[in-house]
Amino acid sequence: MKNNFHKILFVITITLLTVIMVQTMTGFISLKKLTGAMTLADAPKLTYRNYVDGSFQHDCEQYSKDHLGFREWALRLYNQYTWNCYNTSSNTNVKIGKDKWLYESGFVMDHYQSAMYEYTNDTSEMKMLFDKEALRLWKVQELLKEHDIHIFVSLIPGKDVIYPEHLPENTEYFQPDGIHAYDYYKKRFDELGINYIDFVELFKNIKDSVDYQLFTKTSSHWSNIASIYVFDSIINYMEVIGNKNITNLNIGEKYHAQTREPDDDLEQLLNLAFRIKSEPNYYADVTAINDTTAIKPYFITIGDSYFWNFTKNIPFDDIFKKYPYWYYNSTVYYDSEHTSTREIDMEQELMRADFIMLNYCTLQLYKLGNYFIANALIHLCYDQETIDSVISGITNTIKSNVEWYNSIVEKAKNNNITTDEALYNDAIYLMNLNPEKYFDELKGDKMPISRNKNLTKINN
Amino acid sequence: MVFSSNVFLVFFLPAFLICYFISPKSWRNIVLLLFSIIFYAYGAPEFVLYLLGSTIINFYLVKLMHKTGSQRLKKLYCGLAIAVSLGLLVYFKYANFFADNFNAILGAIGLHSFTFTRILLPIGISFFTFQSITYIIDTYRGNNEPMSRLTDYMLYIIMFPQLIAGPIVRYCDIEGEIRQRDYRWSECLQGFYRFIIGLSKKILIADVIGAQVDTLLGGDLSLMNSGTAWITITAYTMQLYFDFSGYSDMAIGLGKIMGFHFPENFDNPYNSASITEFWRRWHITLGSFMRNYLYIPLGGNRCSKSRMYLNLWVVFLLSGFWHGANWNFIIWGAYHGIWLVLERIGLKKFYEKIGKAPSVVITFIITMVGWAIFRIENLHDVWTFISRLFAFDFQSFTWSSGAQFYTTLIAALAFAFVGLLPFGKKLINFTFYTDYSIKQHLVAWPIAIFMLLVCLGALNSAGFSPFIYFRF
Repeated sequence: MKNNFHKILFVITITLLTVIMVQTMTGFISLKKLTGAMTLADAPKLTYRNYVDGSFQHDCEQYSKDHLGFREWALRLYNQYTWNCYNTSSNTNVKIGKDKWLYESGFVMDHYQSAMYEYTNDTSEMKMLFDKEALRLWKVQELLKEHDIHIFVSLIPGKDVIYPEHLPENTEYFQPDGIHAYDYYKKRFDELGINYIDFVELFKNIKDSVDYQLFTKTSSHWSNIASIYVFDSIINYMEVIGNKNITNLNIGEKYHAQTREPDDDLEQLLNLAFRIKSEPNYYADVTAINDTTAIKPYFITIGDSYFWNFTKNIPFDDIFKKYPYWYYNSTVYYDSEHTSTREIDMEQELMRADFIMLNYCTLQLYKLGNYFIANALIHLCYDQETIDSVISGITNTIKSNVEWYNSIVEKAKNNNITTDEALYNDAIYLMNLNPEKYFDELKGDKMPISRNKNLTKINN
Repeated sequence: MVFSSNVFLVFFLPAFLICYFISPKSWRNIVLLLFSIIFYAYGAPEFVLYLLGSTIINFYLVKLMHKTGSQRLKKLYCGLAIAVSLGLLVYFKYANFFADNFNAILGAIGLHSFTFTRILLPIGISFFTFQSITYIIDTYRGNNEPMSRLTDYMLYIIMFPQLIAGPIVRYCDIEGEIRQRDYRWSECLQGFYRFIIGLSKKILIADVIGAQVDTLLGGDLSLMNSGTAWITITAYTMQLYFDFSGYSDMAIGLGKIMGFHFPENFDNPYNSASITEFWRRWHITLGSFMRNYLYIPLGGNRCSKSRMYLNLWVVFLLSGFWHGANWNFIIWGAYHGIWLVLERIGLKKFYEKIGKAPSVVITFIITMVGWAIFRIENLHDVWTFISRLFAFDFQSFTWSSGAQFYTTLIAALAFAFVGLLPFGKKLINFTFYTDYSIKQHLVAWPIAIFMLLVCLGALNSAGFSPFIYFRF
């Protein structure tokens, strides 16, 4: 009997190990997936060379890490253990602050040392870049106005700006004479008369007087309820700068409810076994006010992930004709479809717009527009033929430099595109990086005289 | 392949256990040998032929040595077999060291250095070389008969649980079990528990502490305050112990599952009241090897006192060199040798006078300073670090390494010293050396499975840092 017991228990042990192996290989049991975006390793291909040099073994370990059977349970169990016992997270993108407030690591960095310093350590270079970008934006604003199109910047606070009291202690960052894109741009926008709406200042002012959380303890972005009030303000602002009547929001009574997605976006990244006990926050239902006199504008947003909360809460379809979202000026989302910004016709898209919003939080502000501003400026002043000849000039310069050209060939290989495509992409990048170098008229602080004659406002 | 990897835990181990236990008993050695070759070939493909080749050559040389009636030929074969093993060890492990030093001398006297291709070190070479030597010498001494089957000898040398990091198993210790062994299911289970204890020591203690040690020692050592320096060296002392003893636990546990009883390699070494005692408790099988195959042949205790001290010192110098081909290892060996000699001269009497507890503290400090020499490769940095230890500059110290590190370090210290208490001795005895009752199994088994999951979580959490990804 005793021996049978031991035998059975040992057989169960081997069976369990085998089940883990089979689950790793087949994933036959479906488990609640881990949250967050990660690129998983592909299954390695065995060759004699990669076996002997050990890279196959290394890749196997990485692959098995990403596809381990019951990985979901094992990771959640371990994460819960470190969270409860040590107040730490294995996810380096999430920092745990005082009173277990969560912050995305970038915001912690930006608070203690402007994120811009990740890009350059030279403050004067930084000021020069901000100055150039602000000047370009002013030109774009004035050029678009000629077509009754209105561009404005929405300055969004990072969680660190509104709730610095819960930030973890600084142990990593130090830049004593640093400047911040927010302060610098705001000053320049005022000087140049650039349209902007400042939610940073607003949030700081109302933080202690509102009865709802502007950011929840477990979120990276502004709370659902805060985003609703923000968008209401944005609509009002667009009505003023565009002198147009736009459908307004009907914000229902606030009500208390348990934390809802995405107010727990950072908690989700911790991948814990149990939910974090958090205070309920306020939520509200939003509808569009039925106004037959209101226009339905074409509304483009270029910006970071803060826009996403709007789409969760605002009835965009009832307010706008279209509302493409140019995520970091890289991917354009139209409802459920998406495409690359490279694929779209810039002239057409600009002329369709009634309002263009640059929606950037304090962390991302140093990358304002992600080259959209320069690209728009070029297209507003020059026709495609002129632009193509500049691009062709740049590609010829690259081709004449063997080292440079070879690096483009290598890049094309790595990105699985043709060399011509890589050349074209690099030429566009260089042109947008420094348009003043290729178009003399864009230099200085005067409005350019040239206009792209092919541009005509497309009425929606 | 290391035990604390997904490939071993998730693929190799279950596949091996299934094949091993469904095979008839007479086939199990072959199954174990095949999996051991796969184990080595996976981790060190470029050296597997060398390992197999040297093993086969040694097997036949020992056979010839045993067969011959001539004492002279016997010596010759014995010397040849040892030369094959040691020669390859010297070539692979020490060629770079000798070449570097030779070039340094050439440079010092103004001559051009010579160029050479750096040689890669086959994993586990130090361990399987010593196992071969025990077999050759024990057979030469007539302590055992040579093996009749090549596969049995290969199994003894290549057996995967102890192939990479010991324990160094003398042939006479498992000769009988290679030929025939009993399987007790309760032992298989306890072997599994032992394996999980070792895995937990490695992943949940040594790796957690080790990450912080690397960070601390990666900075400018001359700027380190004494508080941080002591925390660092205490942490490294624990990391090394839990890493190495964890690996030994895993090896012993795996051996038990297969019906082998490998010798213990650690016996609470930091509870030692002298360096002499420390070496009876730390890496026991290496100490035993050095005593049987080096210290005693050099004359051991049966010679003049001064010769004995020299023998002792030389043994530890060579032991240091065995640990690694670098000057810091040689100095570390010499450092331990000096303390052993000092204890023989009179320090041991001083320890007896002051009592166990102070002696344990002093021995622990001596050991920690030794580990500083062991860990920091650059001799200038070693000196800088040791001078920071004894600079008594505690003013700028801050507890900046995080709760997980400190909690784990405290837990490690508690486990390392628990053996000093009567309760601790009972706990250790119960955990490692008691046959569990059914009730005890019913408690131990779920804990072991739970710990396995936690270890898999810890192993796979490193590098898992997903981003928020927004799209609609």
